[in-house]
Amino acid sequence: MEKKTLLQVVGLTTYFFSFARTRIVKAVDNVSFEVNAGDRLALIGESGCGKSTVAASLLRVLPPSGETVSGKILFEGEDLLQKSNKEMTQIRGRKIAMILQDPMMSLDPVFTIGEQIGETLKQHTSLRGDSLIQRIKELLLAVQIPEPERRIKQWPHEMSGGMRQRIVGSIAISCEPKLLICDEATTNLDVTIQLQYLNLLKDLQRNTGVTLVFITHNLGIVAELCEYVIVMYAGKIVERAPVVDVFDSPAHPYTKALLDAAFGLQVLRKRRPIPGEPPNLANLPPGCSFNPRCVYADDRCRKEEPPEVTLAAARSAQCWYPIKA
Amino acid sequence: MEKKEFDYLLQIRDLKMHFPVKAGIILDHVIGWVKALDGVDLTIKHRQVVGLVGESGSGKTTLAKVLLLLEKPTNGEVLFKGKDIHSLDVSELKAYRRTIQAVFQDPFASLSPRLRVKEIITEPLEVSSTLSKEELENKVGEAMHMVGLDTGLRRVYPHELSGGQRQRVAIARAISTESKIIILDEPTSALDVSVRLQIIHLLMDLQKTLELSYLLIGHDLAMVAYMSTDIAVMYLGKIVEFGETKELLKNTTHPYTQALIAASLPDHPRDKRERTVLSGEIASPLNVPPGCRFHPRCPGKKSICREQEPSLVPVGDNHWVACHLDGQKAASSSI
Repeated sequence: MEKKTLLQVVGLTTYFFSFARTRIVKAVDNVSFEVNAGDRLALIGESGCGKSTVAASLLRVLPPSGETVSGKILFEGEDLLQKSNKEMTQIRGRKIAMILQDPMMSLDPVFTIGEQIGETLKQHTSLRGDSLIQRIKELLLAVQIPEPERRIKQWPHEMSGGMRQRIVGSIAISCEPKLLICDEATTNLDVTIQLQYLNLLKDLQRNTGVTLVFITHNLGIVAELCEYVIVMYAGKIVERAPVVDVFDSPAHPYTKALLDAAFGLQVLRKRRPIPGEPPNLANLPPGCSFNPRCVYADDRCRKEEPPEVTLAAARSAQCWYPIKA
Repeated sequence: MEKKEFDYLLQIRDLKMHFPVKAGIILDHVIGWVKALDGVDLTIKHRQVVGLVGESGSGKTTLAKVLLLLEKPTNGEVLFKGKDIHSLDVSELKAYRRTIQAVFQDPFASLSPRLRVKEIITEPLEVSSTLSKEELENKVGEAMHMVGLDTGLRRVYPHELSGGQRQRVAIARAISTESKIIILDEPTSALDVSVRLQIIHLLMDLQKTLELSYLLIGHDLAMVAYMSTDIAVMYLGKIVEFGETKELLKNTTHPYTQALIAASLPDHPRDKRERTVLSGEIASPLNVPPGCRFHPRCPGKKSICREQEPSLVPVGDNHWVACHLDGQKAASSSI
């Protein structure tokens, strides 16, 4: 079955500028990727790699110091970067939704759960009164929160972290978005609650067909949930591949280093740390941004930025010496 | 005090920390108790790395605070050299504070932004010792060298350092007093993924070189298992399972520990499997369930579980479990 392209990002470049533009932080540098309807994509990398900035650029919610300087974001064929603010408000929450890391920041402490879920529904639908409340109850049940009538009148502080994150999830899916971006959505949750939540997301996708983009640094979530992986480092995509290929035979030294340093219960073997520190985006080294920490780096890596090399169908890496399978 | 050899560094006995919840404006009365710690027994021996694993409300952070004398328990005792740490005299207290140090989760919040690296490292020493300025300078150099920090950074402020470097400063500070026990409270959770393992290996190397004991608090069982010699699993203020790491992972007995292992994420996509997710939410320490505190979520509960609280009993060599079902392992989850 031919998969429909839902999102096509072409050459996205977002910079953050300091006062008087004296310093430029190249948060996202010429990033291009595609997401098909029904996919489960992982965007991985550590803090500062640009993954959250990609999401913010997509939804056009960058802070004042940020600016998307070039590129195209084609969502259902239309370039989001060309849309007016008014048009974007019709897309945020309705066509594209996002769940963030900390539910206490996403939920307003002075409004009840019912008011907060209702807010999005009132913005994008014509539901009011009883039909609105009915829809809110349905949504709470959809995210596995029992006794919805009682919950509607409760406040965020009366609920546990896991429940709050489910409320955030219910707001996100309330208007049946086509694309759901989860930015470190389970990082603050307890382990046993995290698994419940990941299963919930899988169920949501099964029931509504929503496309999932998971932004995370946790390889376990990638292994558990995702089908395709894009690895970012210092604002660029350094590798992209189907999930099994990434774990079996990572092509980029950074991906391999991440896997070597990751913890897992299955095998308690000695792990290898990645040397050095994450890069300073305002002052990147010449050549390949990963070179100071790369065990395979040579002079070429230190002088010239490598191109993206296609390794197989749906596989590529930005490296002079991609690791062979 | 006579010199007596103890086979433990710290012995925690029936430790309880119940925080009162008060109501009323004029006649303020107690309406409930948050039972953060509800009877904990634990021993920390020389060169032992005890991993303390638990989710929210387990009490692990409260336990650390009690050991650091930041909270006074409502019951029980913590014995250091035979005496309860809350009844030490001034000089014994100084000795205790030198012996036990801590490294916290947030390397930004735990370092004073107004002090330079060298001042941060020597701060605990200035309180408790009589070293000269030169000796202190040497100590700083030594400590920085041990944690892999360039000694040229001694006059730098924390905000000028990266997260990993700041955590190294926190570790240097913790070893500067020649401490014997270090409480590590989620030491790598706030660090970048690529830097975590560096810090973990540093901690493991220091433990061997300086013959330290650690109380490692974490929520990531895999990371705790990697570093610890023994693991204590806590749930709602009590230890429900304790054992030597390999033994605990191989013969996991308590249903909660099994659930934690089952909930852990796979190492590889092909290891994904359908597994029963633990139902329900973690109960609140304000409202601890009667009998076994885990029973509402336990897949294998019997009627005795609702009525009687199980105590820790040995189920193997250095392996203890508090469960009425002990011995009957649930079918699939142990690895």
